[in-house]
Amino acid sequence: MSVIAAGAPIAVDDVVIRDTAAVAAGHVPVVALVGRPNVGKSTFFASVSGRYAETANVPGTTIVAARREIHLAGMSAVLVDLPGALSLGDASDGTAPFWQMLLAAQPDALLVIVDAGDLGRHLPLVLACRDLGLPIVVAANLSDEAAGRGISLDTGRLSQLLVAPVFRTIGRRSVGTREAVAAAIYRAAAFHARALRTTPFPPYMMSTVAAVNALARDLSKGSAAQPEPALMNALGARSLTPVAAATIALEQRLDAERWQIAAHWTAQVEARHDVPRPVNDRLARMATSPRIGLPLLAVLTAGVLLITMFVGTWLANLLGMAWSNFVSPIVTGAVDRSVPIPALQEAIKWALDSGLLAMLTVGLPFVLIFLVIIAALEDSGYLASTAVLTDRLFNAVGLPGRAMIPIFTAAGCNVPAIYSTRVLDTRRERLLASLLIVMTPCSARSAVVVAALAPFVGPFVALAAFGVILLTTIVSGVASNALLPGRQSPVVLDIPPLRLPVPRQVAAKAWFRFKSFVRTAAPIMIVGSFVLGLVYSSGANDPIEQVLSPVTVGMLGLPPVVGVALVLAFLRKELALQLLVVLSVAEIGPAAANLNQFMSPEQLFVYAVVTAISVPCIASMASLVDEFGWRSALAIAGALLGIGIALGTVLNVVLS
Amino acid sequence: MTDLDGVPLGAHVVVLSVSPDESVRLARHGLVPGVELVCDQDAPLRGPRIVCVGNQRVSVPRAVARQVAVELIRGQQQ
Repeated sequence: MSVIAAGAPIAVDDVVIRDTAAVAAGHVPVVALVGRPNVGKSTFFASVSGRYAETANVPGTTIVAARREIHLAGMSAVLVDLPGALSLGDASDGTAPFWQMLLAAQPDALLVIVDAGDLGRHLPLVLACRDLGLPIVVAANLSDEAAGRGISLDTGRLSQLLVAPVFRTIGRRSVGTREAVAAAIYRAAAFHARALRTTPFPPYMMSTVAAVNALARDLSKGSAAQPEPALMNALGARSLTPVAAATIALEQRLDAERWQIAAHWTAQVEARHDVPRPVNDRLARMATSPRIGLPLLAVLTAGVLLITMFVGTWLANLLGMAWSNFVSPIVTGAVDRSVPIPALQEAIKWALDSGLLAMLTVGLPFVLIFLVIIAALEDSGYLASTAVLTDRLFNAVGLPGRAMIPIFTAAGCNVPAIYSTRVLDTRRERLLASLLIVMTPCSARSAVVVAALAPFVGPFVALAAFGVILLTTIVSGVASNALLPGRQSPVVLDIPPLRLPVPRQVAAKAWFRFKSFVRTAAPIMIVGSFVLGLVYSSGANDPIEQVLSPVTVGMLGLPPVVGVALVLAFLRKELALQLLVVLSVAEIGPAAANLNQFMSPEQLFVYAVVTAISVPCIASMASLVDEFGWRSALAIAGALLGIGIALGTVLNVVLS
Repeated sequence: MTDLDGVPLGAHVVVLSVSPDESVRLARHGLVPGVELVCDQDAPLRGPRIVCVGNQRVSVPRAVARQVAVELIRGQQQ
């Protein structure tokens, strides 16, 4: 058994370097990063690979692991960043347990990242990884934070205990990270060349070891009682040894011992000195205290929304002006010249001119700013505090406090909000949150409510409309929580300390999410606008109005022209009002440009609320389909349509 | 002996046992028998209770906290 001291892994691996050259010719070793959430894996990954990857802080939420080929110490390797995991069996609803994700990455070595200041809670995962039989290297990360708390580690002793190299690292300052990864690559290559024979003696009780061995024998003979199919598949594919498979199957029993061993070993290698509590720890405590945390949350929420509104509106105007002055004439000119059919010409202009403009003026200013702020708050660890503070409020609608993040995002745009429901554990919670999200007016829909009511009826009426929408959202949330089978599972959550976000990481995260937003929304915006233009320029609105009039005129008490505007709002919410004006001018005459001329204040109120709620826009519909499949997406859209019409009918009756 | 929901804030407690329903999940956060905890804060409206396990703060909903049997070793501080 070879004992490897931290900082000197190469001495041991000298033996195998010759073999690794041969291996490297045919196979690039894969090193997987494993660690609990918030231990700084992504920052670590970025520090070594130079690429800032998107991974969520919640176990099992990142479906795609970040992979990157790196070159270190004259060797190539593939570094894989996996989502944070509390244990190998960690599985959130609908996703496979963590060990399956880990094996899917086909690692040749594991780099287990632990918190140097909280070793006792991180060692059990290290032990579980070691039991998989793959070579491991341990990075005692966040060692600067640990030092700030007066904690130091004897990494030499720890590597003796673990029979694996241990490195002291600081991910965000790239201290020790490359050395740790290099050691992992050496061990990966050596393992692949079958030159590494450091099977550590298991630290478990004799009876436990015997149980593992007995199960391993049964598994390899195929005589185990009720083996998990996934385990048998992994055994068949030789991605697990029988012993490793047995340790996974017996995780519960082993974990109990692992935590005891971890406490025992930590006591041996950890030295604590009395130091004053670090500032960020005290801040983190304030953030969750009801007396300071709640007002702080209110101020921050209002601040974020105001910043987005002001900066967003300013940017949107700027971009809109630039577009109509410089780009629009070129686009319309080109379309006029190249398309001979007038109706088609009009539709293409709608798509390429106003469609792209809408994308530019909603996407860039509102969505991007919002995503940057959210990413910064996420990386700072603050959002976890808000989740704790608001937990009880969200429980009323069957959600944990964590749902605050997506629903908050929805006020900017529903599309990224729907994707960010991935922070929730179960499909049930994600569906409930999505219903609330699509009912939350995004910046485009808020603009419709404000523009329809504030100038024509009064600003307080606009505020009242938001009140009605909020109330409806809460009632629908409570109702759907009661109707949807199943119930909420309470969430146990590690509250991360507050950290200053790394700007590059925040930028990369926001950009990554923005790209996926554009990829979903842009084609839909363009096609939607095209259809809109076609309907509008071909005069197809008449039959639509007639079909819809029982609802629009009969139930909602609105003029028939509203029907088309409501249907087309499905394609482009922010145009709902503009469309209404354009269509009514076309049908009634120029006087209709003043909405007061043909709609009463009550009708405008009903129109604004119904438009804001009714159907999700086509872009959020597409993300719903993407996330939950057609059936659930249609169910949500149907529920929304029902709620919107019912509410409009009630308002119509009450107001008139 | 009482449960984690029933001790006052500021109390230092030792975990005696965790009900089988929650033991796997709580173990993943380090709440295993024998561990010393400090009851740090309570979220508003009887929201989750925040306990310190060493330097780590863990948010435990009340329903889960009731599943954790603890022994008080030191009462309220300050």
